[in-house]
Amino acid sequence: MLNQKLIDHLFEDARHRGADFVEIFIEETHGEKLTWLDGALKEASGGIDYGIGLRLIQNGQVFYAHTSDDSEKGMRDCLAHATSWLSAKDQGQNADMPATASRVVDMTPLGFERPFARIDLGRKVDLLRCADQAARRTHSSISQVNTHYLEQSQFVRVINSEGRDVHGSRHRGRFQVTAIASNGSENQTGTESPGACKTFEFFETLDIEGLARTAAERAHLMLLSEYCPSGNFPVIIDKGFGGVIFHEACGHGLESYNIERQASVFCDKLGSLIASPLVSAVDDGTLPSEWGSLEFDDEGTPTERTQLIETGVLKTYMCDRLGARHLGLKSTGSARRESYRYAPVSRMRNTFILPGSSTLDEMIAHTDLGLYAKSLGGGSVNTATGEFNFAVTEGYLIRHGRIEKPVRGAVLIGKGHEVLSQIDHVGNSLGLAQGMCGATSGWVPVNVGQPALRVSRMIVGGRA
Amino acid sequence: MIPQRLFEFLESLKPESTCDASELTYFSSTTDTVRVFEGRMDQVSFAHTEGLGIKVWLGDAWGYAYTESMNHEAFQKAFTLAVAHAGIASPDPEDRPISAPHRGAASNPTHSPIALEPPEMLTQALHLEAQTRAAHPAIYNVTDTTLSQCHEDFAILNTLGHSVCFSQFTQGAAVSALAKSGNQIINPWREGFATHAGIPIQDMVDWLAREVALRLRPARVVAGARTVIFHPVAARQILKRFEPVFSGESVLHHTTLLEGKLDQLIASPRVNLVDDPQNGPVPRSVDGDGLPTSRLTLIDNGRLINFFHNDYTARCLKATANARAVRGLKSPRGISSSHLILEPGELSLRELMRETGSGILIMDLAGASASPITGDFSYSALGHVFENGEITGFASGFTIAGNFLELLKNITQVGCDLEFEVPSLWGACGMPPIVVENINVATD
Repeated sequence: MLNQKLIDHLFEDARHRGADFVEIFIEETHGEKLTWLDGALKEASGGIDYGIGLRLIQNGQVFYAHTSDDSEKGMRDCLAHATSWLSAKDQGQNADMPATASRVVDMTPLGFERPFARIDLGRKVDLLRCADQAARRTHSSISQVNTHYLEQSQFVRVINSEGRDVHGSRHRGRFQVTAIASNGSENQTGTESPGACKTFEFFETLDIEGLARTAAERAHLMLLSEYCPSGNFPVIIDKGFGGVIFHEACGHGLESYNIERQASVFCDKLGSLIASPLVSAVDDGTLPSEWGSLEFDDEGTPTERTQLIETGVLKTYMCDRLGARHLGLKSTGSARRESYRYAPVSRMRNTFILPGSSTLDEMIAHTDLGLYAKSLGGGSVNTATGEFNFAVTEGYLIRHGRIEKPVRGAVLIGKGHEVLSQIDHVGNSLGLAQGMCGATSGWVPVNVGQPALRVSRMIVGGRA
Repeated sequence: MIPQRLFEFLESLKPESTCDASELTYFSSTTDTVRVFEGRMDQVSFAHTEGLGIKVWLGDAWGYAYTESMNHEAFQKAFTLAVAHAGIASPDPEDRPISAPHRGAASNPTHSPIALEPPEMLTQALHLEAQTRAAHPAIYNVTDTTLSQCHEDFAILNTLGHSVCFSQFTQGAAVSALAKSGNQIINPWREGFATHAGIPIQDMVDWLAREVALRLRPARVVAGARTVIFHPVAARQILKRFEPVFSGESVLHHTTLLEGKLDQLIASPRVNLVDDPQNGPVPRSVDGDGLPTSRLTLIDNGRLINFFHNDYTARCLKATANARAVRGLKSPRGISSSHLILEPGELSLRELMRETGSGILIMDLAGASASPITGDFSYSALGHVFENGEITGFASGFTIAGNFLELLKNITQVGCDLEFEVPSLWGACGMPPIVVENINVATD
């Protein structure tokens, strides 16, 4: 097992071989997944992820090794692989990260408690059964219901050569219900999937039946809807998961990893107006119990609330240690990784646009022909070109200032830096929603969020 | 060869009276990755991980648990958890351990002759980046140049005497370039994987050079129902997204639009969709259940004649099993193809464009608005506009939309240039270019 003696040895050996910075990331994650399908518990599975990531930095170059074998031999092999690269280093360059003493930050007590484990499995199964029954009761068109219960307790310890030794636990729960409505020739789906950085009390406070009904009603409604027309017109994006527009259109482009590589349309824009003056946005890792919250990031840096945009002006980027050093900024506690299998890079946490003064009704009333995107699915972005896309899972056509009819099959596309400037209304009520974000360092839980807002023109891809 | 300690783990379960049968699945991988940026090493990583999945049966119910700690204490904890899961699971009499004893090892050699030592990986990655940077004067940044190689081992064994293992080795590279002309920025990328001749670096660079030259000529697409040609990369993106419609699991749970359509014409007569595990970039003679694989035709001249089945879905649906099981450490039961391909036709991509006359050659797709349950898709797209068979310019910022089943019916031509994706443990999808009518194109 990895012990203090071995850790000391690894640090000494790595330094001896020329590393400027050494970091050990130790992770043990307990997960459980229950799946209810076809009216029965189809799968009950779970287990333990365990491993260690060893990161060496020399002249700004990263050498990362990870293993699930924490025996002395396994760790020494891991180090040997990483340091074998050090021997091929660029000679004659100054150390990029000089070792400096730092206080030890002890975030939470040791002793990896697993509160989820105290809950009887039967109670968890009851939640799934309840959701299944509620969804099926909602409408006779509901032909299938698939529900998942997910829990995860992650224990991490981060030790580095600057004297930081941080450890703590992160407990997350998520409940997902997907309803399928069918008319015999067509299927449509509706999904609800709330999550939180909490233990089982999260599930106890959920309105399970309400979630299931919402998913089922959306599936049924979309079955009755027509295909969305294509075009370039105003789009009102509702609060909550609508925030995926900011996440994709702007957030990824503000991660220092992309800025460092000159692979973002927001490079060299600090202090510039990059959005409508109505837009102020933050990335906040400190919100209590929120899905994307962390006490400390995956480099052991305490998280913070980072003001990204203030009345349209870019204030800073989201930085990890390397990015901060490279850009001459401070780390914002934004280094994240899915697991020990990934080296950390700058990522979003809970990212949202702050409330303005409009109401949803006003926005609709001010729209002659447009789309009201009430519920959105996932999306993606190319940070280098700014081109993004995301799916509308529940949409309504607006005509003459009123909602005319539900529409389906729409996708919204655009360029982030252009769309941000075309926001002409920001609502007065903030909502957050949960998602999983995939990028260089794997999949991490994030909140997206915003009040309802209107973009004056967007390309809507549809089939009509 | 199956590690001896797995048999010891399994043996340790036999005195247990808490379950009726047990099955172990073992995963091991060793990966080297090199990423370079601006002429120097940016990040290298080495990984060695193992994991063990334990599935137990209590009567007709089963439970599953896994661990990445390969010691007896962790194994016993996982076993206890698996038994607890089986204790709450609904009875599922068709899910049984593989009972016919089948022993053997299969597939690729443990150490591939194309495996590279780390310094050579770095040399090749730097070469790829430098060549890409020099490929066209408009290229101003090569944002990501990565070379990786991975050796993976998989084993499955159970208390009924079934034990099979196989190994795979894959090696691939990816490069992404930024080029600009005026305000126009383009970002072509290319992946390649190694054959006996190594990684096709020069082919990747030549492809990028051609694409940069072509993409710097802006054009506009015309909205409406259009005939488009899907480049193999884009065609693969669509086929892979909709592969679940061919899964026996989807039939079982009534989530495929193809349910009830066996022996019906569901695609153009030009469509022959086959899966051949033993012929392709990563040949494999057994599936994730450890059962022998063979070539399977899904669509024959447009007619649906098979679904993919693992041992479980075949039993449930009283269908013929065809050994398409896949496993993951966290997913004990799944179905997937190995080398799923649309059988190539006669014409090259250039000939397809000439024959089509005018249209859009779709090069890449992005977006999550594509559902195997509804069949509907709506993607953000980019591609070349062509007229009279010749490329006249490049467009992005438009969408394409349709329905997968309609797309299959609207395929009017299949090209001859079959391209596989970079393979993974369970296989690689390959597609030639296809010509499809009546795709809804939207733009500003």
